[in-house]
Amino acid sequence: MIRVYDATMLALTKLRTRKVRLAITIIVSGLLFSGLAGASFIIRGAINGVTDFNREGLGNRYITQEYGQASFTFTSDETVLNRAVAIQKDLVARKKAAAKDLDIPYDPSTEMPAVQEFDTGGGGKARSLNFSTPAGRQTIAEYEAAHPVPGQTDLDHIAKPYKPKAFYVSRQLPYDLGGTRLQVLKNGQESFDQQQGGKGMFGPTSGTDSFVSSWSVMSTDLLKPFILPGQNLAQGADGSAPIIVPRSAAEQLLQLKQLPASASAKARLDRTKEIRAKAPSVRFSVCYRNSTSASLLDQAIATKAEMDKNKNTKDYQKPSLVYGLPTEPCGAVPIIRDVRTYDEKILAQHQTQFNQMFGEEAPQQQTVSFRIVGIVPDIDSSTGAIGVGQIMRSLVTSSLGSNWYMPIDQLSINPLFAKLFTISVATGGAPTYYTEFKTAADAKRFIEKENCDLDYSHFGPNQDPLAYCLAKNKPFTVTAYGNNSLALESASRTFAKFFKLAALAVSVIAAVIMMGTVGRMIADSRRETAVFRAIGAKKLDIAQIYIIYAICLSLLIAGFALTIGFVGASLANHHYSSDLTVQAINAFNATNLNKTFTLYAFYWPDILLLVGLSVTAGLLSAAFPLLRNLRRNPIRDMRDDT
Amino acid sequence: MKTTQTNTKKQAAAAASAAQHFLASYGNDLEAAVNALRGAYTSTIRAPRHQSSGPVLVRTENLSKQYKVGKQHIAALDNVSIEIHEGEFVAFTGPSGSGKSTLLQLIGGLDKPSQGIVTIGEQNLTKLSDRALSNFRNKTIGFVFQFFYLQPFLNLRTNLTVPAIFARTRRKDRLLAADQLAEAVGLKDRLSHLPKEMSGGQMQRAAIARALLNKPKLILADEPTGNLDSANGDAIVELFEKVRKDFGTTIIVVTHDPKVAAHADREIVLKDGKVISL
Repeated sequence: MIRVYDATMLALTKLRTRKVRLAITIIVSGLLFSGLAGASFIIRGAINGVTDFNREGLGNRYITQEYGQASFTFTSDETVLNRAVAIQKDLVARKKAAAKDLDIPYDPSTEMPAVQEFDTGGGGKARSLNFSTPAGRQTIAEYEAAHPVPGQTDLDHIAKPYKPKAFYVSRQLPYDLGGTRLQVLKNGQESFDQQQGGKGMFGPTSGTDSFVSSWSVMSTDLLKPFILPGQNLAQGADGSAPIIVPRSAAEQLLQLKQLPASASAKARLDRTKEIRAKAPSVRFSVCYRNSTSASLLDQAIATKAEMDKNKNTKDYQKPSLVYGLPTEPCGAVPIIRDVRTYDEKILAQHQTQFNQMFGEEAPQQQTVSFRIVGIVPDIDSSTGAIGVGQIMRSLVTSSLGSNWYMPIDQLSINPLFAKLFTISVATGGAPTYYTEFKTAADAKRFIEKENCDLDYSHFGPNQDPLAYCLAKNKPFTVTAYGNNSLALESASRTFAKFFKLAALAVSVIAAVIMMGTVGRMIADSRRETAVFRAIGAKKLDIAQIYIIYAICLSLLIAGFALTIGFVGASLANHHYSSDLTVQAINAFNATNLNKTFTLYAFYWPDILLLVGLSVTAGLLSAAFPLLRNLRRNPIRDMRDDT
Repeated sequence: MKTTQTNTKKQAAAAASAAQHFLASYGNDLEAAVNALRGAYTSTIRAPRHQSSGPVLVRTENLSKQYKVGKQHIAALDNVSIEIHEGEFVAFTGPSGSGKSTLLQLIGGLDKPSQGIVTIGEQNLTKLSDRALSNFRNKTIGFVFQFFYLQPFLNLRTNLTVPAIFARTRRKDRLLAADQLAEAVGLKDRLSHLPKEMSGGQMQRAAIARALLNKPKLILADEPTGNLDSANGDAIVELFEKVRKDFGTTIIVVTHDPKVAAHADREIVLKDGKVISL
């Protein structure tokens, strides 16, 4: 072997031949590799950025989320349905007797059936439980008591082998509140628009109207990283309950006009700063009305509408009892006209007595005061341009999500909260559990081993998810939570896998392209090889020169690819960095508002892999022509030339 | 008068016989014989014939080389046995296809004989591995080609050092040797020039200097003047003489050029793969 310096000098002379072909090879192969280089710079940059911002939230904590699958098939289970029918029958019998005792009229046909019958199409009929009837509720309560959903005790048991560090819990407000009404008072005023404030599974996802559909309580320890500077999760001296609100709700409560989607990153960052600065000073109230109060209010609204409609009708007779709209926000519904006879009043009194015998509460309304202690991004955040938002969402999920979060200890402080959050497990009040582990490996193992995956290739369409999971001895569905490091680790691994496969494919293509150039160059150099052999070069010396040539060519290709990749990543960064920064600051509640999200990073293993594969492609491309060249008779090559 | 006529006839017969003998020495190749005569009479250089009495440097014994062309075997060399002494300047001549270049290549270890042996000094080349043969060539033999074969993208100084690169000689030493040889061949002022900036004669002188870089015992030159004009050809022949004189190098030249052949100590004539004149 000759000295590397000398071999390199001789190899470099070859880069000065066939310059057009060489340039095309470098550009085409380089562009292939540059795609990979750019992808690496951008994805690694994004992962680094997310990791960096993630430190602001539940960073470096390994938490899993567990929830028991809801059982829904019991609502059409014949035994359950028959029990509901029996309860209803008993209820009607008791009501008949009570009505007779109180001497009031009672028509059983006005009772909503506990079991509804509906057409299934094709002439078939099916029955299902009516959740909102008293008999339906009682049936569910009985069923839940007999079939408890997996809880903390089960979790303790299954998590023990994985050495859990701590457990946490959250609950979401049940979606069926049985007529109860909750409404965020805007500017301190109650809205009498009956469309507003209603509870539903698919309620508004942003603004103050999302309160009812996404009010949650959560362990204090999980909320702490997300509170604004200077705030705490304790009950306020003024009796206000601490709450973390979605950004759009904070904007509304601060009476800020929502920024257009086209707003600049700076404007959005300024808005974030403004919201954060002003939000802690905001107190807002939620009006609670129990079902009786809500019903009276509905009655008042309907009566008012009717009287307004008949204002000019001469022979219109106003009702003898008229409820008016409350005179103060969340006030009691007043009687504004009562011209009932004595008998009518006695009858009404008996009716009320009857209703209360069967579960109706006295009208109750209450204002609950909250103070904002933190901000979370909205689910469909409009804080970023569509493309950027999508990119971001594909890479990260906010640690907390976009609910309204209140510390769970509020359930023991305020009885109203306790009542609201425990109305019924079957209607969404079941707790979600969280387990914190010491290491990512423990958390990962826990997910892999204990997650009940509803794989639809095995899980039948009419099968009960809860029963399915219990049968597998995996009572919970387990996912990574809060700490994106698990997801990031997974994303990083997935990308590395993709990168390796793509790099391999690109290398093969590049090797073929390079083989054309290297092969041609080696063929062109046969005479030179023959001369070198004549003046004493060994085959290995010749091979060394061409190997170094191939390596030089590969390094030029890799250099070109890295340059183009870096330029591409820099352009992407230039375009998206500011948007992503705002998005990330909002998503992770970053305390440092000067932090930036840089969309490129040099991940050396990727770069070395890329350079290595480029060199490998170069060597592969040289191998075959070189072997063929070395087997040739140098005399023949000299003779061919002359 | 009769005696005079008889003498004239005898002289004519002797001349005819000498001519026949001369022609036969060129394998009855009239063109080669005429070329040789023309060279002998037109040459302006008359180097003194050197009679070497040194030890044998190159020896071939029953050397044959056959090439297979299609199904036919063609004998390029047939049973050639020659000896060349140290310090000799020998020309291989003969018509095209006579086997002179093949003989040169076998002596240079660039090709393997079909039969026979080649010995340089004490070393039987036919017994050497490819690697050992490369080493041997590098240290013992210098090659000069008709078309110079200098590296187009290296300057003269670096070009001269190429054989030393393959000998792993230290850079400093080989550059010093290159400078000395460039001076010896009159190219000192061209050291930083690329081959394309030099004339044919300069390039061939450079090629000879390159061949001398590792101080070989033997220089093998294949048609060294074949691509040069007459003046440059003469200069190359002079240079070979100088090399032989200054370095004691044995020189074997394959040539069609009668002037070159005329300046050799010995001319070995080949025809149809056989030596017809030593």
